[in-house]
Amino acid sequence: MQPSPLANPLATVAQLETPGSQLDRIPPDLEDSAHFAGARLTQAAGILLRLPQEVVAQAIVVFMRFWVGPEGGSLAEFGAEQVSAASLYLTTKLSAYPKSARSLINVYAYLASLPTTCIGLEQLKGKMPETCYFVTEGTYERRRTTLFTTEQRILRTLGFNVHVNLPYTLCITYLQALDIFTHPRAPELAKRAIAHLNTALLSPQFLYLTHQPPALATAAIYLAAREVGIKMPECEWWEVFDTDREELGFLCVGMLSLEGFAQGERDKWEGKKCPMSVEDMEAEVKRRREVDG
Amino acid sequence: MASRWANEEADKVEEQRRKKDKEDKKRLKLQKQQEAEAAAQAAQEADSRPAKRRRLSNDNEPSTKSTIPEAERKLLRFEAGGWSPCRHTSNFETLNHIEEGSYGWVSRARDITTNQVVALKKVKMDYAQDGFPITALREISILQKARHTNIVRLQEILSGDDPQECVLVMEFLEHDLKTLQEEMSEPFLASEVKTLLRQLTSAMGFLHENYIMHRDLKTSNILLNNRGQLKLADFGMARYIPSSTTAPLTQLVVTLWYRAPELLLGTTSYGTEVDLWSLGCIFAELLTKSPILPGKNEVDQLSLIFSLCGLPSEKTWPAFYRLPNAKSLKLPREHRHANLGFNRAKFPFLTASGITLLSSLLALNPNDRPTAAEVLEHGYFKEQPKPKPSEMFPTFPSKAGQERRRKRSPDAPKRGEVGAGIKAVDFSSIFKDREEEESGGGGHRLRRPFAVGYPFCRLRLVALVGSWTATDRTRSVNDCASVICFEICYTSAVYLYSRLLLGPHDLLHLCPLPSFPCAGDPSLGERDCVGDLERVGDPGVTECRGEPECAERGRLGDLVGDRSRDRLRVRDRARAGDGVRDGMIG
Ligand SMILES: Nc1ncnc2c1ncn2[C@@H]1O[C@H](COP(=O)(O)OP(=O)(O)OP(=O)(O)O)[C@@H](O)[C@H]1O
Ligand SMILES: [Mg+2]
Repeated sequence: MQPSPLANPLATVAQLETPGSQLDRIPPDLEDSAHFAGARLTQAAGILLRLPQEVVAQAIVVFMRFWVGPEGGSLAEFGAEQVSAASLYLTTKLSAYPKSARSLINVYAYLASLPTTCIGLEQLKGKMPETCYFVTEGTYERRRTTLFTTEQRILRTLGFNVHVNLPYTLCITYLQALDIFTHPRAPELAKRAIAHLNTALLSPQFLYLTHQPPALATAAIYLAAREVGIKMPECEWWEVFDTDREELGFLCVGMLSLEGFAQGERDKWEGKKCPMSVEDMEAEVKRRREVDG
Repeated sequence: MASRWANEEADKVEEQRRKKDKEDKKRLKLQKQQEAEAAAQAAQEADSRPAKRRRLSNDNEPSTKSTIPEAERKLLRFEAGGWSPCRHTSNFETLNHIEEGSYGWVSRARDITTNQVVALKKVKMDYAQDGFPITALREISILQKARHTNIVRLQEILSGDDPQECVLVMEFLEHDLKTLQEEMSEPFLASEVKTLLRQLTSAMGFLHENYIMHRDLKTSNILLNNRGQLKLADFGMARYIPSSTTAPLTQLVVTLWYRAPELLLGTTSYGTEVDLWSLGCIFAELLTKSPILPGKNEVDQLSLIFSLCGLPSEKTWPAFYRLPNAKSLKLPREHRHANLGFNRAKFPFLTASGITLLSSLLALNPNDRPTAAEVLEHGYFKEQPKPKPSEMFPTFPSKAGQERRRKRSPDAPKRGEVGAGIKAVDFSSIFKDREEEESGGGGHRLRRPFAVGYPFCRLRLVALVGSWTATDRTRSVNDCASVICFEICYTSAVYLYSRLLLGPHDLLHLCPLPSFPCAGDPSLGERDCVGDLERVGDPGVTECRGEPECAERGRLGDLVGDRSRDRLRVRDRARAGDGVRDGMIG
C-alpha cells in the first residue's frame, strides 16, 4: 500500500498503556511533567537556533514517540533534556537547516542555566547570541558523545520512524477550502488554529501520536472558529476532512484541557526545576518517597 | 426479412426484461441500503452513548445538533502503521554475500521466523564527526517514503551487537543490470529495452514528483527480478530538492560515467536533469550492452561526451560559459562543423524516434532534456516493437545467489563530501591543439574525400596526425559515402586529441571503437551473423538481434533495391550515417 502523505505512524493502545518510564516506577505525574518540560525545552532551543516551527514540531513528535511503549525510553535511563537535544539534532540533520553539535550543546547549556524549567518562550526571542560558548572543551566532548549515543538510541527505539507529517499546511488548505479567508477576522482564526496545533504538541495525551494530521487540523479550526466567533457551515463540515464527530470531540477536549494542564505545571515548578536529567529524576523520586514516608 | 423482424421482436422483449430486472435490482438495493442504515444508526447510537456522557462533562464539546440520520458517510482512514524498536540482526541468517560496495556490504539472507529471503545492506558507519551519518539517514528516510513498484522496498532496519551497526532489510532481487549485462551474450531486445526503460523512468518520475533526486543512477544500482520487474536501488546519494535555489549542492555526485556535463563543469545549482542525463546513459548502455561513456577521469569524461553529443555553443547552451570549470575549457573557434550534434551513427539499430529520445536525454544543455513524464509519453514506446510485457521477460540465471566476481567500474563519489573544498577541474587540455590546427594546415581535411572501404581505426589515426597521404592509396569511388565517413572521423579526432594529450600510450588501445560500425570494420562481420538469433517479442513483430529496425530497412530497400546483399550492407552503413549528426548541412 502506498502510504498516505497525510499519515503518521500512530502509537498502539498497548504502547500508550505502558510507557517505558512506568516500568521503572517513575510516578506518572512526574513523567507527564518531564515530557512537558522536555517539549517546551525543545521549543525554546528551536527559537534560539532560529529554526522554523515545522522542524521544532517534528523534533517534539520524535521526542514524544521515544517515550511510549514498554520498549520505549525510560526517564530512569534517559534525561528529558538529553532526549530533547538529540531529537532536535536528528531532526535538523534531515531538514534544510542542519545545526552543528556545538551550537546545539551551547544552546542547551544556556537554557539549563536559567533558574526555571518554565521558560517563557516570548522572552527568549533574540536572546542568547549563538556565538557565545557556555561549556568548556571537556564538557563539550562529553556532551557530544552523549548526544550521539542518544541519537542512536532514538533511531533504534523508533525503528528509524523519524519522519513526521505535520498538520500546519493542511490547516491552511482546509481554511481555504472552507472559504474562510473572505472573512475579515480570518487571519485571527488562522493564527488561533495554528496556536492550537502548537500547544497540542505538548499534550500529555500524546495527541500527535494518536491522531492523524487531518483530524488535528480540523479540530484546531473548529476550536479557533468558536473562539474567534466565525460561523462555520451548518452541516457537518468536518466530515469533508475525514474527521468524524467522535474524534473531533475527543480532540477538542484534549486541546482545551491543555491550558489547564500547562497552568498546573507552571504552578508546580514555579521558580523550581523539573528534573531533566537521570540524576535529578532519581533524586526527585527519592525525595518524594521520603516525603510520603 | 421475416427472421429479421423476429429478431427485432425478440430484442424488444429482451430489452423489457432487462429493464424490469434492473428495476428489481434497484429496489432491492435500496431496501438493503435502508436496512444497513438503520443497523448502522442503531450501532452508532449504542456505542456513542458512553462517549456522549463523556462529552457532556465538558461544555466545550462540539454542538451536536440532532440531525436527521443520514446514510453514514465514508470517511477516509489514514494508515501509516506504527513503530517498534529495531530487531536484532540475529533474526536473519546470511545465505551468501552479494557485493561489497563503496558504502556498504550487501548479502542475501533469510528471515529465520518467516523464511522470507531478503537482501541485507549493512551500512558502513563513519561516526566521528556528526553522529549518525547523514547519508545513511537520508537513504533510509527517502526509501521509507519512496514506495513505488519500481523502487526497491525497504522493509525494516536492524541493529546489531555493536550499537553503531545498522542494516537495511530490502526485498531481494535476483539481478542488477550491470552484472546481468556482463553475463549476457547479446544485448537486450528492443522490446525489452523499452520495458526496462519505462519502468526505470516511472520510478524516476515518482521520485521527481516527490522532490527527490536520485543522483547515482547507473546499471549496478538498478535491480531486476526474474519476473521482469525492475526496481531502482541505492539511495545513498539521493536527497530532497532544496526549496531555495541559493543553497549550493555538491557537484560530486553521480558515478563518473553517468555524470551530466553540467556537474563535470562544476555547477552547484542543478536539478532533476542530472538524473535524466544518467537515464540517457543507461538507455544507451541497454542498447549496446556496454557503458556508453566510460571516461577515465573528468577530463576524459567530458571529451567523450563532446565526441558523442557534439560541442556546446552559445546558441545551444548559453549558460555553458558561465559554469565554473568552463573557463579552463577553450572551445575551438566557430568553425563550419562546430556543434555537429548527436552522433547517431553509434546507434545504427535504433529507430529515428529512439534516436530523438536518446539524444534529447543526452542533451548537453540540461534545459533541453525532457522530464521523466515526457519520456514516458514519448512515441518511442508506442511504435513497434512494443514494450515486452514483464511476464514475458526471459529469465536469466541469477548470480546474486552465489559468490561472484565483478568487473571494476568507477564508484560513486565519496559520500558526505561537501561542495566546498572540491578542486576545480582543469579542462584546458581538451582542445589545446585543435584551434591551431583549425587555422593551420588542418583545414584541408574538410575537402579530402577518402575511402569508405578503409579500415576505420586507421582512418581515425590518420585524422589524428593530420596527414591524409596514406588514404590516397585506398581512395574510393564512392564520394557520397566518403563525406559521411569524414564526419565520423572528425569527432573521433576530437576524441583522440584529448586522449593524446592525456598520454600517447593510450593511443593504440583506444583507436578501434567497435561501436562505430563501418564497412571494412572487423566488428561488422560479427554483428551481421547474430541475425539468426531471433526471439519473438511483441506478437506479430519478429525481432532480430543485430539488424536495423524493419521500418528502417524498408526505406533502404527502396533505394538500393537491385544491389546485391553485400553492396546493400555497405550502403546500409552509408545510409545509417546519412544525417549522422543532427543539424548537419550536407
Ligand atoms: N535488494 C537487493 N537485491 C539483490 N541485490 C542487491 C539488492 N540491493 C543491492 N544489491 C546488490 O548489491 C550491489 C550494491 O548495492 P548498493 O548499490 O545498494 O550498495 P552501495 O554500497 O551503495 O553500492 P555502491 O558501490 O554503488 O556505492 C548492487 O549493485 C546489487 O548487485
Ligand atoms: Mg550502488
